[in-house]
Amino acid sequence: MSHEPEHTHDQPAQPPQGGAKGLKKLMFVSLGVLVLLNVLIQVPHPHFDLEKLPGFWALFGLIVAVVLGKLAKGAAHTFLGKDEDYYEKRG
Amino acid sequence: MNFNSALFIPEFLQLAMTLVLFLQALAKPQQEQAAGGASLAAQTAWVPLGAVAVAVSAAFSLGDSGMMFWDAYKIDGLSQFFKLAVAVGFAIAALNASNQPTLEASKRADYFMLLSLSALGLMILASSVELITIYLALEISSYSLYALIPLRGKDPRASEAGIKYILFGAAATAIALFGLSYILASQHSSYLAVLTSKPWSWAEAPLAIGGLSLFMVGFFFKLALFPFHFWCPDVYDGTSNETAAYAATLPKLGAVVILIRLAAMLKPGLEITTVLAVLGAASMTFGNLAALTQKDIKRILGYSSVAHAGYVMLGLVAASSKGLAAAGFYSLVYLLMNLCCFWVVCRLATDGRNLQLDDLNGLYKRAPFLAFVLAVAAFSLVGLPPTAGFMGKLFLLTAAWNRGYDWLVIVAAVNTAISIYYYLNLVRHAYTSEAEGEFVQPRADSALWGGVLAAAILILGAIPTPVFKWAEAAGRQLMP
Amino acid sequence: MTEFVHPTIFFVISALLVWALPGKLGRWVPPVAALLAVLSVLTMQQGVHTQLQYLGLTLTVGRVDQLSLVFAHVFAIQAVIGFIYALHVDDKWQHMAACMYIAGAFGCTFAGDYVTLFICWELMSVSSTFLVWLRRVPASTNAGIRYFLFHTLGGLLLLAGLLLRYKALGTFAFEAANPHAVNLYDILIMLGFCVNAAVIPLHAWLPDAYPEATVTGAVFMSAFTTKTAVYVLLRGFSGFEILGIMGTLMTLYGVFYATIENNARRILAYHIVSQVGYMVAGIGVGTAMTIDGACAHAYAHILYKGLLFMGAGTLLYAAGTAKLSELGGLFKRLPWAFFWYMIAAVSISGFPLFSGFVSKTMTITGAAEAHHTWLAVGMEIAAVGTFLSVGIKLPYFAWFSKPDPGMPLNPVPRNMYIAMAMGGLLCFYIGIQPEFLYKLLPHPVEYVPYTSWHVLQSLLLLGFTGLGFYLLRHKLKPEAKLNLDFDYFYRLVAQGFMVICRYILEKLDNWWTEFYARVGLKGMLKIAGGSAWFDKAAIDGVVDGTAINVRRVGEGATLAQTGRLQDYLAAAAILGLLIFGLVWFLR
Repeated sequence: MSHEPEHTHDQPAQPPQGGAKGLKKLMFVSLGVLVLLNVLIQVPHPHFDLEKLPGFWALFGLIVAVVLGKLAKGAAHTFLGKDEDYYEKRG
Repeated sequence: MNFNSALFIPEFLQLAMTLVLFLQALAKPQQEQAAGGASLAAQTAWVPLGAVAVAVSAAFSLGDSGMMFWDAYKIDGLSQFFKLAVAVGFAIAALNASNQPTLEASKRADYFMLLSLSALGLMILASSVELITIYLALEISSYSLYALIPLRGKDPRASEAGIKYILFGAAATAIALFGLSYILASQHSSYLAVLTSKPWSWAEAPLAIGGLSLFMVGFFFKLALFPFHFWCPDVYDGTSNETAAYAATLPKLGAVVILIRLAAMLKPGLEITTVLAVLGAASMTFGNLAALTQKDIKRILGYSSVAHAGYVMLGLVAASSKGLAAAGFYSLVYLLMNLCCFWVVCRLATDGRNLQLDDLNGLYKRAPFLAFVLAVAAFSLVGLPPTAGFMGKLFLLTAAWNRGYDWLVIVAAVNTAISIYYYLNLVRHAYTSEAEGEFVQPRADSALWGGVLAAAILILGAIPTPVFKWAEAAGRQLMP
Repeated sequence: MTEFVHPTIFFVISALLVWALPGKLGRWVPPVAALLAVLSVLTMQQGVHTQLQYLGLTLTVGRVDQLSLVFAHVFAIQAVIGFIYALHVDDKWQHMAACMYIAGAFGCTFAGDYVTLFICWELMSVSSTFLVWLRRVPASTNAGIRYFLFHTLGGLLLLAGLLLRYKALGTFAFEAANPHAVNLYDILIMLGFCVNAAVIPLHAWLPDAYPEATVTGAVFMSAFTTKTAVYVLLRGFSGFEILGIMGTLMTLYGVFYATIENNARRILAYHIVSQVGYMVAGIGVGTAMTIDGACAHAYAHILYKGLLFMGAGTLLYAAGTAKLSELGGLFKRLPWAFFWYMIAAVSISGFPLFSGFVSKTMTITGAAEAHHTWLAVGMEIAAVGTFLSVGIKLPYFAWFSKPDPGMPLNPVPRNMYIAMAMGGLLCFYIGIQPEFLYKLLPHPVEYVPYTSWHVLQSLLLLGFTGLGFYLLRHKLKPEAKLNLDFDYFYRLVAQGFMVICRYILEKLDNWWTEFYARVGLKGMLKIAGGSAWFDKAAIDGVVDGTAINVRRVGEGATLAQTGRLQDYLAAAAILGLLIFGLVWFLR
């Protein structure tokens, strides 16, 4: 759905310029529209109570994405990530 | 007379071949001026093919049966089996003799004519069931061979061998005729069918027994059974290699088929049977012992044929359908083994000389395929598995043992052990000794046919049943 | 035409023809064979066909019903796409391996009994190993060996299970097992199937081997091994609750690792674990809707996973590496690869208008309606992770995220783009015409994908996942690292086994050598000395003596052969009469 305008690795997050700025605006606007729609269109057969909340799935997606990203990377940095020739060195 | 030409085809073809060769022999004086010696040689090149045609027709006639010529000529399983064996043997011997170094080109047609006539005589012998017919057929085959023995360049030893063969043979067949007269006198018939039903014990028909023994002498001579074998080593030694190949194998087939027919009249315990057993034992032993110190390969093979004649006796004394079948099968196998051995000898002796054991030295290097063929033939003659010789011996020993001839079987086994020495001596010289002097390479197609023979020996050793079944069927027709 | 032509035949003949024909001609045979297979699948009648006699058993090689048809349908289509993708490959052995691999897959699909299944299972195992080895680099060779060992283990579990089952039930027929009456053999067979289905913890072979396979081989492997396993699980083990739980765990596990991996193909491989988890979970729940969902998901997955691997394969082929840390900024030079990849990426994520939307949501809804709410939630979490890793992270860091490093790119052959286009168009078509897929499913489908709520929910979920990525885009930068997985334990076990062998066997060997030298050898030498003496003195003496004496006798016997005829005649007559007389008178 979304792809980001070009960024370089070693620069910190810059405020997007020109066309990139427009795209970013578009993205936030469309996300807002979707949440509004959620108010209008309700879940017909909720499987659990929380689902009835408008914007639930939006929050779900955001939180899960962030938590997953952080957890995964955290694990990768602590005990999971090893050098590429880890198994060859151990022999 | 009831002559049925459909039953006579193999003999007819063989006769036709003989006649063509006869005409070729007559025609040669004019052509000798027209062409050179090479074309004369080429004129008889068709003989092996003709022999194969005869063999094929004999194979097709294996199931025939009938009586011809006033019941003196019988077509049954035994006769057709032996006709096929004779035809195959003749084909191989003719192929072997296609390029004889010691035979002049102008004499080729004569040579093959006589050879073919001898084979024809043997075929007729296979079907003869009346004593006089038997005698005539025997003489046809023998006389032709008498003329061939001396044909060896200008070698005086060949002439000596010829004389020995003729005179010994004449004496033996004279005795046989004498014995025939006694049989006629006492049993009043010369038809085997009639004779079978007559008494053959010492008490009832002593004259007949004497007559039969003397009659059999003729065939013991042909078979080279002790003590009628003395001609054998000398004749093989003296005659040319190719003629010796024929003479060492085919006449024995003729002798065996008649002995099988006669043995059908015998029962174990009869005096005749015991005589056969004793002669067989003596033959085996004497032949093997005498061969131990020989240095000339043909003499070795001569003594070995004496020994093998003894082995064949095992089957004859067993006098059961299996025993007779074993004797027939063994004679076919013997034909193959011996022809295979002679094949190698003829290919190596390119100038037609007698090969000594030392001439085999280093054969595995000079002609490895021929060395292999020789090894197969030698192992088969010993009777080692997986060769046909082993199968043949196995059938013989089993038949004799099952009929109670334990002592004979033991003697045969001991003799096999003794024979290992001199047969494997051949292999030893071929494989472990080193060669000295010059060596002429044998031709390429000699390897082909030698290989075919060796393969036949090995295949027959692995799968003897189809062939043995024919022999058994023939045996059962004789002794149900 | 007969009512059933086994598609395996086409692929076996194709393999032989590829071997026999010259390269330029031979490479066209497999796509034609695949087309013939499509034709065969479309025209085959349902029923049990073709029973063969083998080793005294009756093998059912043609069991066609709705379940096997839906898988055969997509196998055939993917075979066509895959072989078109592989048209540029020169190596005829790769084509042959792929042909035999697909032949085995069809064999498994139509197998009516466990023996046929096992034979085809092993055929697939061996052929796919070659698809790894034929890349011909050391890493691939090693990965291939590990792959093969593990699959052999799986095959042995299957074999043990089916033999025990035969002993207990007396039949090899491949039918559903009863979830309420589970025996040891059922468990063994299920474990064997789970190896191929990459159920954790038996999954580590997948991310180990798939990134090391050939560019085109990985496309085939992504489709056939795991989906065949899904098929056999569907047929044999529907409704086994443990599968529901393991499946959901798989979905989460897969996306977890996919988020942190660096190699693009390894990300996709972990993704296979995740997606197959959906299918396994659907099998575990076992209702009509979830089974339909599993089938539909398998169907759609083969197409879009194949397309994903084709996209990543194109990157690998062009740039020579699949590592995200080394790629980036290639959008200008490889735009079409990006385009078709994104079609697959949105399909897998479940965007409306694409195939994933009509299949994935069916499974989740099915799980929820069967009151397995936690499974449903877990699957939704995995959906987020899917989009995050495969839908955004991979393409972003491969085609964007930095200026073009300017590395030389191999020109991409046109057939690869054509194949990707075919896959992408199919993903789209199924998305807008779900009936095409739904009418193939085993149970009648009551699920309506395109309701306003379903569309909205998907868009909400995915849209805010995108936002999440945007916020984390620096944290999620790929690093060139190896992430430990369960294969750590596999290797530990293997190494331990080796150590035990060495340790114990070494001890034994040392002890034995000592014993042998001190006791055995000396004693033996003494005995040998004794027997040598006996042999020389006693036996040789006797034997040689006998031989020499026999020879002497023989020599004596030849004295009779004087050469003179008169002697011969006389000897013959005398000896003959002597023998006759003796025998007659002594009787």
